[in-house]
Amino acid sequence: MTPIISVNGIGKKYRLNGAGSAHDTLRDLLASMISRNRPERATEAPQANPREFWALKDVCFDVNEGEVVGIVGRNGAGKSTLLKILSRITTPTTGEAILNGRVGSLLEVGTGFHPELTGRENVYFNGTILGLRKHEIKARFDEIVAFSGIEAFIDTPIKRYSSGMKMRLAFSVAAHLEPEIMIIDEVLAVGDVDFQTKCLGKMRDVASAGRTVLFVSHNMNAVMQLCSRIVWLERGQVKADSKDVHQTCGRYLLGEEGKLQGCHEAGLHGALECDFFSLRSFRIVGPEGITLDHPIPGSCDFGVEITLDIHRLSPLLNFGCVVVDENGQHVLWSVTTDKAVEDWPELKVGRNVITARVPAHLLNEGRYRMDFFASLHGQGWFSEPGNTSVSVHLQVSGGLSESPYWRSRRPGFIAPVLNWVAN
Amino acid sequence: MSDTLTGHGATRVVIRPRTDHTLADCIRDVYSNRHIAWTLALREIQIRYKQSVVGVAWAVLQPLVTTVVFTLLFGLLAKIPTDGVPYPVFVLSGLLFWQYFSKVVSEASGSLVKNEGIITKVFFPRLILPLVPALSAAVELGISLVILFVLMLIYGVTPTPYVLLLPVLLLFAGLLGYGIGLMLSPINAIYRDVSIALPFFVQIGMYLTPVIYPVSFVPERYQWVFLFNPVAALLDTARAALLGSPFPSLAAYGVLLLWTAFIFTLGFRTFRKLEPAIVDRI
Repeated sequence: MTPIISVNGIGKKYRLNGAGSAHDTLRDLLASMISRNRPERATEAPQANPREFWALKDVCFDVNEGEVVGIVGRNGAGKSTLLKILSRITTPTTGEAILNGRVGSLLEVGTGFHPELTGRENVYFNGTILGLRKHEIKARFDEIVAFSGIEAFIDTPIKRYSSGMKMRLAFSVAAHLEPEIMIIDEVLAVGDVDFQTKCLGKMRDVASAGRTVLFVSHNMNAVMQLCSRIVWLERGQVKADSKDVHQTCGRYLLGEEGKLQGCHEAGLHGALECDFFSLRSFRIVGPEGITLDHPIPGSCDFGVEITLDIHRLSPLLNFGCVVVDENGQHVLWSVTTDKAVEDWPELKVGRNVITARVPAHLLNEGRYRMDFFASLHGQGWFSEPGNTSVSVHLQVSGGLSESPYWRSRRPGFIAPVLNWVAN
Repeated sequence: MSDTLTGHGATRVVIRPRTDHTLADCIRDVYSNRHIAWTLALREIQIRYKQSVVGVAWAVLQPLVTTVVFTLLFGLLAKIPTDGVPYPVFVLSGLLFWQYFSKVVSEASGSLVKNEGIITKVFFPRLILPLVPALSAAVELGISLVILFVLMLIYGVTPTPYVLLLPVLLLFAGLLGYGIGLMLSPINAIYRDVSIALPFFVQIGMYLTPVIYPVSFVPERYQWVFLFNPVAALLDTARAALLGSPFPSLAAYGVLLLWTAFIFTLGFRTFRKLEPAIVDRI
């Protein structure tokens, strides 16, 4: 399958003109016309000229039809420049991009809206410059107005609209573009919660209708909810390009160096041995079965895995974990002997691997420490939860809920999603 | 720059650092996106009269008052001879035409800067923007032409059958203005000097064009100068068609065609060359 978007070595150089410098005059142009006969060769090897700045450098990726690609990166990473190039608003300095489909780009909501014109007039104008033909707008007009929810004011000049109303109308036009490739820059941050919900729903429709979407956002919850792939830009270059949205988002959220220590291995981090057992490893296991060394969203469950060599059995042996939050508060204790006696895991002399799952939607967003717990019940500790115990680290970020209203961390130790029903 | 096969909404787009757009591609781009030009022109007109109390009457009032002032100054005081045509009719016909042309030139030159908010956020062939004033100004000209005809009726001046040529003349004036706009608008987007200097040159241009005086007013040995002024040829033709004054020479039309071709080519070349820099430096 040929990719619908193919980006090949795209680079973009900006010249930094000192603010307030008197160089931007016609005199300059005339002078340069005389002195410079050859056109400037921008494609030549980029040199470290302090007056130049590469906003993008050798960016390559292909996007297949139907993919919803989230583009993340810190401010100045080149996200907007990339979208501007793909929308043909600005030209790349190097490289080539091929788009195989009608492109609708939405870098701003309500481009060209004029306050003196009515809602109706603005819809027609906005639709036209976004690439719709008049008959297409006519055919969708009622739908657009209905979606915006401002039917009553459609023939009022938009200077009398509230800013929210303007945004609604503008997004409605954009939402009805129906191009094959949609390029969207951070537009979900508009309007009230109600309307945001609608927008998110519409975006989901667009995505599930098999259209290709490039989506820039700082809202990681939205990215995780909508995207099937992440392209992470850093200083103008692709730092990561992955279909594992949760993991990549997690790494992105954690920052550059950030690897969590999700595993304690005896050989590596220090042994814990006694007459009864030797601890081989204590680790947190992600959904893929590997050690979780990155933040996970609240919507994922994860495992705790304790690997032990038991030398001597005792019914009093008790293993488990304690989750401690950043302030040192204990969020939960959980041990192998929590259930009725007949449901305890059967331990044997020799190698034992005991696991438990921590359900999704339990922990709130935040960083946690998980301490290894081992005791001889009522007799004493082998590993007492606290600063000296064997411990690993865990971070929950994003994915708290599917609800559009619940987008960020709420107060509270835990963040369960309860089932509310009406009868 | 981008190579588009069918303009806005193309199904396959190749984005490259430099365009290999030819002149023909440019013209095709403009043509296939003419509906955007119309929409922009319509919006321009809507906005212009939305908030004014007198509304469309401004399009009538302005040339009328100017005619009165010029008639007093140049007709009655300076007594400029006008080949037997009543001075008010003479000067209004010239003014309308000149105002159309100068409006197209100055608005087209400022079109990219004016629409900065649009061109930095949405893609469509930017070649369209300098074309918009040629369309929107034509509407105003249409309104004020009505006054001219009323004035002609009052003074008993009957138009010649050549009056049917008027749309062609306007087309030429519009294209000429568009060509100059193509050249100046990207320069103006990068260096704002153009918008400072232009009103001055437009003013001078009016006096170098037979607007308030006829060509015959100038001593014969200097009349060849007007041969190099394409607007003079257009304006004189318009007057000849309307008022029955003499047509310019065939040579003048030859020069006009050459000018138009030259300005257009230069305009497209300049625009194409500077276009990639516009958004980054506007």
